[in-house]
Amino acid sequence: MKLKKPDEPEANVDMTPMIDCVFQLLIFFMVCATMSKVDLTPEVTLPIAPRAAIPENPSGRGVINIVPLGTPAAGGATSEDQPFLVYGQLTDEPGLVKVISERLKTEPNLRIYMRVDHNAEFKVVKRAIRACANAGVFDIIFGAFQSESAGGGT
Amino acid sequence: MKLKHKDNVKAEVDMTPMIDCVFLLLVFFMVSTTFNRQEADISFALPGTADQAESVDIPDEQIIQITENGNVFLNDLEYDAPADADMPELVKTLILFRQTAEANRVPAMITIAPEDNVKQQRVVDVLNACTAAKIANVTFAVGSGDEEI
Repeated sequence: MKLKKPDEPEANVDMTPMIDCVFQLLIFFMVCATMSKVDLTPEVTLPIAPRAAIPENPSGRGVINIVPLGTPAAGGATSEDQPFLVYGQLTDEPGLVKVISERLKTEPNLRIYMRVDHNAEFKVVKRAIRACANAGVFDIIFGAFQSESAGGGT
Repeated sequence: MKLKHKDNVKAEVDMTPMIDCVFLLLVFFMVSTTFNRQEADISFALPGTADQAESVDIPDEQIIQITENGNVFLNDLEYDAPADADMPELVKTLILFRQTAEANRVPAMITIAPEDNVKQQRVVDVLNACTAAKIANVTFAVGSGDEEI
Protein backbone atom coordinates (compact mmCIF):
# COMPACT_ATOMS: atom_id res chain seq x y z
CA MET A 1 0.00 0.00 0.00
CA LYS A 2 1.33 3.47 -0.89
CA LEU A 3 1.20 5.90 1.98
CA LYS A 4 0.39 9.53 1.26
CA LYS A 5 2.95 11.94 2.69
CA PRO A 6 1.43 14.67 4.80
CA ASP A 7 2.07 18.21 3.45
CA GLU A 8 5.07 19.76 5.15
CA PRO A 9 4.14 23.03 6.86
CA GLU A 10 5.89 26.01 5.23
CA ALA A 11 8.37 27.77 7.51
CA ASN A 12 7.45 31.39 6.76
CA VAL A 13 9.06 34.28 8.61
CA ASP A 14 6.72 37.23 9.12
CA MET A 15 8.60 40.23 7.76
CA THR A 16 5.99 42.85 8.66
CA PRO A 17 7.36 43.99 12.06
CA MET A 18 10.87 44.31 10.64
CA ILE A 19 9.68 46.41 7.69
CA ASP A 20 7.71 48.60 10.13
CA CYS A 21 10.83 49.20 12.21
CA VAL A 22 12.95 49.94 9.18
CA PHE A 23 10.41 52.49 7.93
CA GLN A 24 10.34 54.17 11.33
CA LEU A 25 14.14 54.43 11.34
CA LEU A 26 14.16 55.71 7.77
CA ILE A 27 11.68 58.47 8.55
CA PHE A 28 13.63 59.41 11.70
CA PHE A 29 16.91 59.83 9.84
CA MET A 30 15.25 61.66 6.94
CA VAL A 31 13.75 64.19 9.36
CA CYS A 32 17.10 64.60 11.16
CA ALA A 33 18.89 65.22 7.88
CA THR A 34 16.42 68.00 6.96
CA MET A 35 16.67 69.70 10.34
CA SER A 36 20.44 70.11 10.21
CA LYS A 37 20.33 72.45 7.20
CA VAL A 38 20.90 75.48 9.46
CA ASP A 39 24.18 77.32 8.94
CA LEU A 40 26.12 75.62 11.73
CA THR A 41 29.82 76.00 11.12
CA PRO A 42 31.51 73.10 12.93
CA GLU A 43 34.67 75.12 13.71
CA VAL A 44 32.77 77.18 16.28
CA THR A 45 32.96 75.95 19.88
CA LEU A 46 30.23 77.82 21.68
CA PRO A 47 30.71 79.14 25.22
CA ILE A 48 28.97 77.50 28.18
CA ALA A 49 25.96 79.25 29.75
CA PRO A 50 23.92 77.06 32.14
CA ARG A 51 21.07 79.61 32.16
CA ALA A 52 20.73 79.72 28.37
CA ALA A 53 17.32 78.63 27.10
CA ILE A 54 16.62 76.05 24.40
CA PRO A 55 14.56 77.90 21.75
CA GLU A 56 11.05 76.64 21.12
CA ASN A 57 10.90 78.12 17.63
CA PRO A 58 14.28 78.77 16.04
CA SER A 59 12.83 80.04 12.76
CA GLY A 60 13.21 83.58 11.41
CA ARG A 61 16.86 83.85 12.30
CA GLY A 62 19.90 84.98 10.40
CA VAL A 63 23.07 83.21 11.49
CA ILE A 64 26.47 84.87 11.78
CA ASN A 65 29.40 82.61 12.64
CA ILE A 66 32.44 84.16 14.32
CA VAL A 67 35.29 81.66 14.32
CA PRO A 68 38.85 82.13 15.63
CA LEU A 69 40.99 84.19 13.24
CA GLY A 70 42.86 82.03 10.73
CA THR A 71 40.16 79.38 10.38
CA PRO A 72 40.06 78.11 6.74
CA ALA A 73 36.90 78.99 4.82
CA ALA A 74 35.72 79.28 1.21
CA GLY A 75 38.11 81.65 -0.55
CA GLY A 76 40.75 81.90 2.18
CA ALA A 77 40.78 82.08 5.95
CA THR A 78 39.16 84.32 8.51
CA SER A 79 41.21 87.43 9.20
CA GLU A 80 40.90 90.83 10.88
CA ASP A 81 39.50 92.17 7.60
CA GLN A 82 36.99 89.40 7.00
CA PRO A 83 36.23 87.71 10.33
CA PHE A 84 32.58 86.77 9.74
CA LEU A 85 31.22 83.58 8.14
CA VAL A 86 27.73 83.62 6.65
CA TYR A 87 26.75 80.37 4.91
CA GLY A 88 30.42 79.49 4.51
CA GLN A 89 31.30 82.80 2.86
CA LEU A 90 33.82 85.18 4.38
CA THR A 91 32.57 88.69 4.80
CA ASP A 92 33.50 92.00 6.40
CA GLU A 93 31.40 94.60 8.23
CA PRO A 94 29.89 96.36 5.14
CA GLY A 95 29.20 92.94 3.60
CA LEU A 96 27.41 91.88 6.76
CA VAL A 97 25.26 95.03 6.74
CA LYS A 98 24.34 94.30 3.12
CA VAL A 99 23.42 90.65 3.79
CA ILE A 100 21.32 91.54 6.85
CA SER A 101 19.58 94.44 5.08
CA GLU A 102 18.58 92.21 2.16
CA ARG A 103 17.26 89.49 4.47
CA LEU A 104 15.39 92.13 6.48
CA LYS A 105 13.37 93.07 3.38
CA THR A 106 11.81 89.59 3.23
CA GLU A 107 11.73 88.98 7.00
CA PRO A 108 10.84 92.15 8.92
CA ASN A 109 10.97 90.30 12.27
CA LEU A 110 14.48 89.02 11.64
CA ARG A 111 16.58 88.10 14.67
CA ILE A 112 20.31 87.62 14.45
CA TYR A 113 21.76 84.46 15.94
CA MET A 114 25.48 84.92 16.58
CA ARG A 115 27.47 81.72 16.93
CA VAL A 116 30.63 83.10 18.49
CA ASP A 117 33.55 80.88 19.41
CA HIS A 118 34.30 80.90 23.14
CA ASN A 119 37.82 82.15 22.46
CA ALA A 120 36.81 84.93 20.03
CA GLU A 121 37.67 88.43 21.20
CA PHE A 122 34.98 90.98 21.89
CA LYS A 123 36.40 93.49 19.40
CA VAL A 124 35.23 91.19 16.57
CA VAL A 125 31.83 90.60 18.17
CA LYS A 126 31.50 94.37 18.65
CA ARG A 127 31.88 94.90 14.90
CA ALA A 128 29.15 92.32 14.21
CA ILE A 129 26.81 93.99 16.74
CA ARG A 130 27.49 97.35 15.11
CA ALA A 131 26.72 95.89 11.68
CA CYS A 132 23.38 94.56 12.99
CA ALA A 133 22.50 97.98 14.40
CA ASN A 134 23.46 99.69 11.12
CA ALA A 135 21.27 97.23 9.20
CA GLY A 136 18.35 97.88 11.57
CA VAL A 137 18.26 94.64 13.57
CA PHE A 138 18.23 95.18 17.33
CA ASP A 139 17.29 91.72 18.50
CA ILE A 140 20.42 89.63 18.86
CA ILE A 141 21.00 86.20 20.35
CA PHE A 142 24.28 84.59 21.37
CA GLY A 143 24.51 80.85 20.92
CA ALA A 144 25.70 78.82 23.92
CA PHE A 145 25.82 75.29 25.25
CA GLN A 146 24.03 74.62 28.52
CA SER A 147 26.79 72.35 29.79
CA GLU A 148 30.18 70.97 28.85
CA SER A 149 28.86 67.55 27.94
CA ALA A 150 25.42 68.37 26.57
CA GLY A 151 24.64 65.79 23.93
CA GLY A 152 21.73 64.79 21.75
CA GLY A 153 19.64 67.02 19.55
CA THR A 154 20.18 67.48 15.86
CA MET B 1 -18.73 15.31 -16.93
CA LYS B 2 -17.25 16.86 -13.82
CA LEU B 3 -14.53 19.37 -14.61
CA LYS B 4 -11.54 19.57 -12.32
CA HIS B 5 -11.07 23.01 -10.82
CA LYS B 6 -7.71 24.55 -11.51
CA ASP B 7 -5.76 25.57 -8.41
CA ASN B 8 -6.14 29.30 -7.90
CA VAL B 9 -2.85 31.10 -8.50
CA LYS B 10 -1.83 33.11 -5.43
CA ALA B 11 -1.27 36.82 -6.21
CA GLU B 12 1.86 37.53 -4.22
CA VAL B 13 3.88 40.75 -4.38
CA ASP B 14 7.59 40.26 -4.13
CA MET B 15 8.74 42.61 -1.39
CA THR B 16 12.46 41.93 -1.71
CA PRO B 17 13.45 44.81 -4.05
CA MET B 18 11.50 47.29 -1.94
CA ILE B 19 13.15 46.13 1.24
CA ASP B 20 16.55 46.37 -0.48
CA CYS B 21 15.83 49.96 -1.48
CA VAL B 22 14.60 50.89 1.98
CA PHE B 23 17.71 49.41 3.58
CA LEU B 24 19.92 51.36 1.18
CA LEU B 25 18.10 54.60 2.02
CA LEU B 26 18.32 53.82 5.73
CA VAL B 27 22.05 53.23 5.57
CA PHE B 28 22.51 56.42 3.53
CA PHE B 29 20.66 58.61 6.03
CA MET B 30 22.35 56.91 9.01
CA VAL B 31 25.77 57.61 7.55
CA SER B 32 25.01 61.18 6.42
CA THR B 33 23.31 62.30 9.63
CA THR B 34 25.60 64.08 12.05
CA PHE B 35 24.36 64.69 15.55
CA ASN B 36 25.08 68.17 16.82
CA ARG B 37 24.94 69.28 20.41
CA GLN B 38 21.77 71.17 21.25
CA GLU B 39 22.43 74.90 21.14
CA ALA B 40 20.71 77.30 23.50
CA ASP B 41 19.93 81.02 23.41
CA ILE B 42 21.20 83.84 25.54
CA SER B 43 19.70 87.01 24.16
CA PHE B 44 20.02 90.77 24.52
CA ALA B 45 18.56 93.78 22.76
CA LEU B 46 20.25 96.85 21.41
CA PRO B 47 18.77 100.19 22.47
CA GLY B 48 17.17 102.56 19.99
CA THR B 49 13.87 100.87 19.14
CA ALA B 50 11.55 102.94 21.37
CA ASP B 51 8.80 104.83 19.57
CA GLN B 52 9.19 108.53 20.34
CA ALA B 53 5.43 109.09 20.52
CA GLU B 54 5.24 106.79 23.53
CA SER B 55 6.31 107.85 26.97
CA VAL B 56 9.37 105.92 28.05
CA ASP B 57 10.28 105.04 31.61
CA ILE B 58 13.82 106.06 32.32
CA PRO B 59 15.48 102.82 33.34
CA ASP B 60 17.67 102.27 36.35
CA GLU B 61 20.89 101.51 34.53
CA GLN B 62 24.06 99.89 35.80
CA ILE B 63 27.22 99.35 33.81
CA ILE B 64 29.25 96.16 34.16
CA GLN B 65 32.82 96.44 32.95
CA ILE B 66 34.90 93.42 31.97
CA THR B 67 38.66 93.76 31.75
CA GLU B 68 41.01 91.84 29.48
CA ASN B 69 41.94 89.48 32.35
CA GLY B 70 38.33 88.56 32.97
CA ASN B 71 37.83 90.77 36.06
CA VAL B 72 34.26 92.04 36.36
CA PHE B 73 33.49 95.45 37.86
CA LEU B 74 30.13 96.90 38.83
CA ASN B 75 30.24 100.46 40.20
CA ASP B 76 34.03 100.16 40.44
CA LEU B 77 33.73 97.17 42.75
CA GLU B 78 35.23 93.89 41.61
CA TYR B 79 33.01 90.83 41.74
CA ASP B 80 34.13 87.19 41.69
CA ALA B 81 37.44 85.76 40.52
CA PRO B 82 38.17 85.72 36.76
CA ALA B 83 38.03 81.92 36.78
CA ASP B 84 34.64 81.80 38.50
CA ALA B 85 32.09 81.19 35.75
CA ASP B 86 29.02 81.06 38.02
CA MET B 87 29.67 84.53 39.52
CA PRO B 88 27.61 84.10 42.71
CA GLU B 89 28.55 87.52 44.15
CA LEU B 90 27.51 89.33 40.97
CA VAL B 91 24.24 87.38 40.74
CA LYS B 92 23.42 88.27 44.35
CA THR B 93 24.08 91.98 43.74
CA LEU B 94 22.10 91.97 40.48
CA ILE B 95 19.10 90.37 42.21
CA LEU B 96 19.19 93.17 44.82
CA PHE B 97 19.47 95.73 42.02
CA ARG B 98 16.46 94.28 40.22
CA GLN B 99 14.39 94.18 43.40
CA THR B 100 15.24 97.83 44.11
CA ALA B 101 14.32 98.85 40.58
CA GLU B 102 11.03 96.96 40.83
CA ALA B 103 10.26 98.66 44.14
CA ASN B 104 10.84 102.02 42.41
CA ARG B 105 8.70 100.86 39.46
CA VAL B 106 11.41 101.46 36.89
CA PRO B 107 12.91 98.87 34.57
CA ALA B 108 16.28 97.44 35.62
CA MET B 109 18.81 97.72 32.84
CA ILE B 110 22.35 96.43 32.53
CA THR B 111 24.92 97.69 30.04
CA ILE B 112 27.91 95.43 29.57
CA ALA B 113 31.13 97.15 28.55
CA PRO B 114 33.83 94.58 27.80
CA GLU B 115 37.34 95.59 26.77
CA ASP B 116 38.41 94.71 23.24
CA ASN B 117 40.39 91.59 24.09
CA VAL B 118 37.87 89.99 26.42
CA LYS B 119 37.03 86.41 25.41
CA GLN B 120 33.45 85.60 24.45
CA GLN B 121 33.20 83.02 27.26
CA ARG B 122 33.61 85.77 29.89
CA VAL B 123 30.99 87.97 28.17
CA VAL B 124 28.57 85.03 28.17
CA ASP B 125 29.37 84.40 31.88
CA VAL B 126 28.14 87.92 32.67
CA LEU B 127 25.06 87.50 30.43
CA ASN B 128 24.40 84.24 32.25
CA ALA B 129 24.59 86.07 35.61
CA CYS B 130 22.08 88.66 34.31
CA THR B 131 19.73 85.84 33.25
CA ALA B 132 20.15 84.19 36.68
CA ALA B 133 19.15 87.51 38.28
CA LYS B 134 16.14 87.68 35.92
CA ILE B 135 17.24 90.93 34.33
CA ALA B 136 15.94 91.00 30.77
CA ASN B 137 17.10 94.47 29.67
CA VAL B 138 20.72 93.84 28.80
CA THR B 139 22.68 95.71 26.19
CA PHE B 140 26.27 96.37 25.17
CA ALA B 141 28.49 99.41 25.00
CA VAL B 142 30.29 99.02 21.70
CA GLY B 143 31.08 102.58 20.64
CA SER B 144 34.55 104.04 20.13
CA GLY B 145 34.48 105.60 23.58
CA ASP B 146 32.03 103.83 25.79
CA GLU B 147 28.95 105.16 24.15
CA GLU B 148 26.24 102.67 23.32
CA ILE B 149 25.14 102.16 19.78
